[in-house]
Amino acid sequence: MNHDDKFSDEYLNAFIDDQLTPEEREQVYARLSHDEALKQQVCRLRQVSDLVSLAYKQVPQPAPGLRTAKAGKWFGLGLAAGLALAVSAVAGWLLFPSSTPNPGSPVAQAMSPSAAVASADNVEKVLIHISDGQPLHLKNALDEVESLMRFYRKSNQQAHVEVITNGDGLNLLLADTTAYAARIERMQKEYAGLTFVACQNTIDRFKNELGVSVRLLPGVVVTDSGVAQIMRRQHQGWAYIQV
Amino acid sequence: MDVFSFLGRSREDRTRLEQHRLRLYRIAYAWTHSAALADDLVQETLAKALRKSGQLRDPNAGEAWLYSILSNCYNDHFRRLRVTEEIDNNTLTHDFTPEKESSQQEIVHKVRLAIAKLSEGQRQVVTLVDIQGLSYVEVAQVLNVPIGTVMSRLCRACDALKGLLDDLAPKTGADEARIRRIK
Amino acid sequence: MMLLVKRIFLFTFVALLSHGVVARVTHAESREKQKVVYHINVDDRKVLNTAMKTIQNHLGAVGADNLDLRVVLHGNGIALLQLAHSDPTFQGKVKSLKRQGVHFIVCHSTLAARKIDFKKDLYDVTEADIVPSGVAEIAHLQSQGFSYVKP
Repeated sequence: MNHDDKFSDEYLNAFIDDQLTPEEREQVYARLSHDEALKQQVCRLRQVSDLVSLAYKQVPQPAPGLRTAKAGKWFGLGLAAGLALAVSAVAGWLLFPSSTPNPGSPVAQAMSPSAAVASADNVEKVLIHISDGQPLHLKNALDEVESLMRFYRKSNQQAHVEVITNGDGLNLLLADTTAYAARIERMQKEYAGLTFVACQNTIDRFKNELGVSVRLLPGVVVTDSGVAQIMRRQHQGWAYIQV
Repeated sequence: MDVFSFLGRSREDRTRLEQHRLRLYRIAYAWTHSAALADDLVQETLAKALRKSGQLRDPNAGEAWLYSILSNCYNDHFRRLRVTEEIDNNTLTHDFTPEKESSQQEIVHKVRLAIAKLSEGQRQVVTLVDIQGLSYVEVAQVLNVPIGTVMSRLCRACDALKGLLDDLAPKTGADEARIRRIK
Repeated sequence: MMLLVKRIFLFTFVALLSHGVVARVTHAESREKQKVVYHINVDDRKVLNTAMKTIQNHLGAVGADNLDLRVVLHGNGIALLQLAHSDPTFQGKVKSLKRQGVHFIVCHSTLAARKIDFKKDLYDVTEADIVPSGVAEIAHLQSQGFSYVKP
């Protein structure tokens, strides 16, 4: 390489990343010793590289996909345990990575999304999405959910039904203002496979934008983001229905 | 030695598998900035790797191969996301909240924001090289692109990230001087 | 949030058409029908009309012969076939879609809850069109590979 040629940034990156041959490296070092501008260039590139590495030295560990709002209702525990057992030993190992926090919540862990979990045979998995909070809409939605659960029960069909609320749909699960506290409690008692889920992002928005301090009905599970949970469930093969 | 041949039964292999998981997770997190998504991606990657491990011939190719799988899982996942959530190429889901105090954490936050703004391809290249230390050849294999593309993406990523240095300059002034004095 | 969700499904629908679905169908060797389930549970006339237009567009884009398109009606959505029963223009549209192979499915729970007689109050519904639970049917169809669209 010509002494007067400038090294391209690509070449210098390759130098920092140790991708040059020993001869090429020697050339760069030789130039570095007397080329101040080059030194600065290399320096900046190294700094960028260090910053990237630093930024991810520590990364937040995954929270379980779902965590209960209140202790005391281990809904579907039997089902979840059965699911874990039904899976091969290796995939089962993958279900419980040692770094997953909240070890006191086996249900939450077992329900943590994992593509490695083969679906237990013949369990219908349905996600019902509610994002509209108008009273009539909420009533219809609950009617639909109950009708669905009754249908599965009548046909002896095992089912996991997750009712996920975000946006205005969260109103369904607000302990202080919902008109359906009793009904939801009854449904939770009656149908083991039924779970009501609230979106943390929406909870935060209610608090920050509306000044509403959110208190959820007992047994409601919280997910980090309603939309993300919908994606996860679809990714796992759940049916998706918007009511 | 084929790391996966024991299906994680012995303690050393479980430890090794956990190390792989942590390293994969770090990259998956850098790509998605979502702990939940990263966790999903890594679980899926390891499951696929364990299924395929019988086909793994060159034991030394183990690590790059894993990132290949991760990259494919990532593409699958985001292809689906694009259809249903109108995510553009630069947007990441997020679950990190800006931490208060600690200038170190402020730096970390700013760098992550800058990385989030990179295009997908640039972000993947710069994280695989700078965090994982993969060679350009390995990165080319993982992402299934020519090595020239790896180098140019890296370059563009660095250009974009250089602006960070000016932004952070007052705080890293001491470090800058220190680095300059080395060699 | 509602707007976003509506946009999601419009987007999904458009994506369905443009992302390899139509391409798949134009392949000479492909004989697989595209499977889609439309979900209607509102009685807003504008929404119903738009839905039928969307379905017609879908048929046009993919070809009626290549499409297994089912419309599940439950809750307020039953209004679609009530309207078709009483309104000739509406009926014409439904008839046309049916002739192109669109299958309208009705939820029995809804009929029972609203005391609707499918023979007297709905347009052209036979026993074969009735399922015990509309929502369960939608879930079931998805497990059979049907894509979900909520117009």
